[in-house]
Amino acid sequence: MRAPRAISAGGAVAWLALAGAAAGGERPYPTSEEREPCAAYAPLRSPYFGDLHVHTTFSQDASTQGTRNRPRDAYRFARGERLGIQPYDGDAALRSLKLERPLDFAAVTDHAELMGETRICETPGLPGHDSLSCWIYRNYPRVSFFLMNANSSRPGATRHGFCGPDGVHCREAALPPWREIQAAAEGAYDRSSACRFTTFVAYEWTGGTLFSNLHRNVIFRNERVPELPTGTFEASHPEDLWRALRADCLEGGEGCDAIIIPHNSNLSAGLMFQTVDSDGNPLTAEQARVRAELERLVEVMQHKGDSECRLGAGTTDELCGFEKLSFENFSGKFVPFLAREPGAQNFVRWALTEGLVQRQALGANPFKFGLLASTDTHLGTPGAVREDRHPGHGGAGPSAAKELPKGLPDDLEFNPGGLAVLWAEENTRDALFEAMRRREVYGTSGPRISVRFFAGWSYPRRLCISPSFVETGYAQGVPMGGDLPPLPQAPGAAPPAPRLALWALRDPGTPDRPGTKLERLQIVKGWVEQGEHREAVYDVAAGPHGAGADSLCRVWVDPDFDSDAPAFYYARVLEIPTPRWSALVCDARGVDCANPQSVPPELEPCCDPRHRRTIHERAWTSPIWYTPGTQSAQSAAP
Amino acid sequence: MSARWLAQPLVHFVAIGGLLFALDRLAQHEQAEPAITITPERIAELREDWLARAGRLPSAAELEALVEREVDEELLLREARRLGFQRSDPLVRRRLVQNMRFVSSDDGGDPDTLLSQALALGMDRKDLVVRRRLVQKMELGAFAAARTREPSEPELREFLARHPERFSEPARVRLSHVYLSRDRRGDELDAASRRLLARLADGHPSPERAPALGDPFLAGHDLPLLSERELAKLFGADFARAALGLAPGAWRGPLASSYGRHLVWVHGRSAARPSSLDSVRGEVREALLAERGEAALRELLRRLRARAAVHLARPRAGAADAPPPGPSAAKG
Repeated sequence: MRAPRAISAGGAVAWLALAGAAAGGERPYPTSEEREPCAAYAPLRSPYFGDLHVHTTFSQDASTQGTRNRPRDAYRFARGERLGIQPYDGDAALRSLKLERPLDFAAVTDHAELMGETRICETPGLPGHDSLSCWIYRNYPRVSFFLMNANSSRPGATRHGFCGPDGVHCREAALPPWREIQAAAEGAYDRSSACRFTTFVAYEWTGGTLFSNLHRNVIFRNERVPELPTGTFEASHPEDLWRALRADCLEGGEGCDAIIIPHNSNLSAGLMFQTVDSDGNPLTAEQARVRAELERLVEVMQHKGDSECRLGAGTTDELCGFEKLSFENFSGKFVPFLAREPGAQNFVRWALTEGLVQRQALGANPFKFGLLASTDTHLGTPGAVREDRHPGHGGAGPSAAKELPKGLPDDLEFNPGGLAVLWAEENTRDALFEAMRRREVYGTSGPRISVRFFAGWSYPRRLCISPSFVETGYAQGVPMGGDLPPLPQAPGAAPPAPRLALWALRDPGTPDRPGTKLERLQIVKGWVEQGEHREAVYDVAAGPHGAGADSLCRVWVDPDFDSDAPAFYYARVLEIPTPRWSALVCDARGVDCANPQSVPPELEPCCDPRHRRTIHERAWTSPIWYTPGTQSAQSAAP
Repeated sequence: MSARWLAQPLVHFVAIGGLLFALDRLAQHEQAEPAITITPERIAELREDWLARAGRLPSAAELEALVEREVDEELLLREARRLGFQRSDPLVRRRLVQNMRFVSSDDGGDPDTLLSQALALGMDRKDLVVRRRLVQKMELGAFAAARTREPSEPELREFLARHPERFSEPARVRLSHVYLSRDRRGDELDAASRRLLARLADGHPSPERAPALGDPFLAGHDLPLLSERELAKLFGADFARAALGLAPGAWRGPLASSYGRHLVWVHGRSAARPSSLDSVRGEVREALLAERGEAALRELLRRLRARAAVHLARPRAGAADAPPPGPSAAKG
């Protein structure tokens, strides 16, 4: 554990000294690798946009959808090169995509499970290639998708027989893909002072119960990674994954470091944020501490919907009606009569509030998550988030392996996914990883919105018109992802209320496609009163008469602050609503729902009563936490 | 006792000569292979396939590429068969045996016999799955072979020197700016920015204090050395391009950004320069191996072409049935 460091009014001076040192090659954060420092070093940090959830042909649910792009291709795409996607005519891809703005970073997160199985089934001559399971894989990919995933995602799963005794063949077969993943990350990582692009070696642990996702991405800090990724065959439960990572990496590997990002809690049937362990026993303080140490972030939104909150599930917040699925796990998607409306426990806002309850009981908060978003692309196309160019996503959507789907390119409830944004001094693995660790990160549903969010006790109310918003933000408080410093003690005076300084700038856009203006800023507060969950959503700034603004800023003082109640605050930045991908496709195909003859059967989803024609694009910041009484304020300032 | 005679140059000379002789004989033998002929009918098929899949007819250049690809595939297929992959590759074997069982409605039968029958019927040339598998095997083999040898230091340096556009530090500028917000200034934006520029041109106040005369900007007013792409992230692409071309040492502008107008003072610039090998070693190695893979495949195809006769019914450019290239031929 790093030593806690209290922040003080003199913090700005010490901090500037550190910034000065950085220019000479010293960095105000721990470094673990050899590389040139970046020319564009910014002591006050810049936002870096990327994607931390990317599948390529090494993922069985991507390869059975016709995805041929490999990790190298995914990184080429993220760096701005044009990339072909399925369907293919021989070797020629019939569709292609290109990012007009490259990403700053990306991580390929292929499933740890089935990496070896997929390779065996596709490579004649490997032991197991001629098995029935592989025959099904090659001839009936959709059937194989269900069979293999149903097998690998159940607790206590054992490998298919074709993997040989103790799965030895499949483990050996997974070595080349895992090495290729590492080589691709190294090959695309810019270690020069130009710092154009950063990669992370990563994988997805694909655990859960039958069809209920407990999926997590594991992101490594640098090139020092375990011999093989830990999948569900080696670690059935999240606790096993934490144990394995600690043994193989954090404590076992020289210079190895990792964090875990859970995702799709909206498909976990309430299991992602349980307050019991996998054996059904209440969480212990040690389990809560370990989880808080490893699971620093959560993916709040991606291709398979939004996991922030759900209107009607413990909230009346209307903006929770955003990119929602109508089922709580995959058995609900594929077997309609099993579909259940997801309850509050599937959502991050509930978990953040429950974390406060757990901290009161255990002394550690197991759900202390920073928020970010990503795509979960299964085409190997990180950062392809444009609504007007959504090609579908492979994975759970309709297949384009042989030909384009006749109807919509994706299931109605899915979407192109979002981006992860990290506030860092420079675009290097160490700087970005430290941003993730201290949770100074946010997510967007696609647009490149910039947002700063600080909390303290003494910010001047006129901070928004001061030229030193950011300097003051760090010097007198903490950025997103941090803990409010201890409540100032003023004898005889009423305790002050937290001051939240929030500033957002719209996506600058591209010459042919300007960014959308901002509609408003909101603060979401969650707190606990006598053990009960409470929440409130405040509109704190808005553009004039709904016309939208380039920039919105506010120093907001919590009017309902109770210094005895633990609380968290996060910000939500909303753009003016714009057409959703599905509406763009439906309109382009001439669908007019008032005229049934214009609606061919394959385009009936266009006129589904649940179809939302607009999307309220947004950004979610990581929370800032307030804990009453004595606390170890771990400074998140540089 | 070591076989010292193996190290003698004369022995090498004879051995290499013998090898070349054998290869030459082999090549002559192979030239007896039938020529590759791409008929007008086949070209018509290629066009129809393209139309069915892409929804439009191929342009002349696209059709040319399809025909070339057809020749390449045939060459790779022949080579794969010459190497016996149609017998040794398990996927191909199983497919051919299955085909034979289907054709003969006979579930039994010895796989080796069935395979021989399938080959005798030329199924390995006709079955699309088998063809693709054999071609792919040749291509992957060429790529994999090219990756086995680790590039040497001089090779990496040479590659780096050959691709300055891919591995260089971009030009950068360090600037301060005074921002005028469109949100705040509205219709006054242009007039206000010109007035402020005139005031700043008098030298009052100093560049350090000037930003306070404008509006606050989220990314700050004194920026580090930034490239065009990094500037575009903060201000938009038009501003970035314009800012990189500004001469230093005076207030200039106003430049339009996505958010309003900016008066800009450029403090200094750094020119584009080649990256050092150490800083881009991983990227260079990766790019070099990829290039080698492509080159190995091209070389293989060149060798195969050199010993096969190819007869093409060249698609006639400007022929009555050839569509004009470009979007006018597009459909749907």
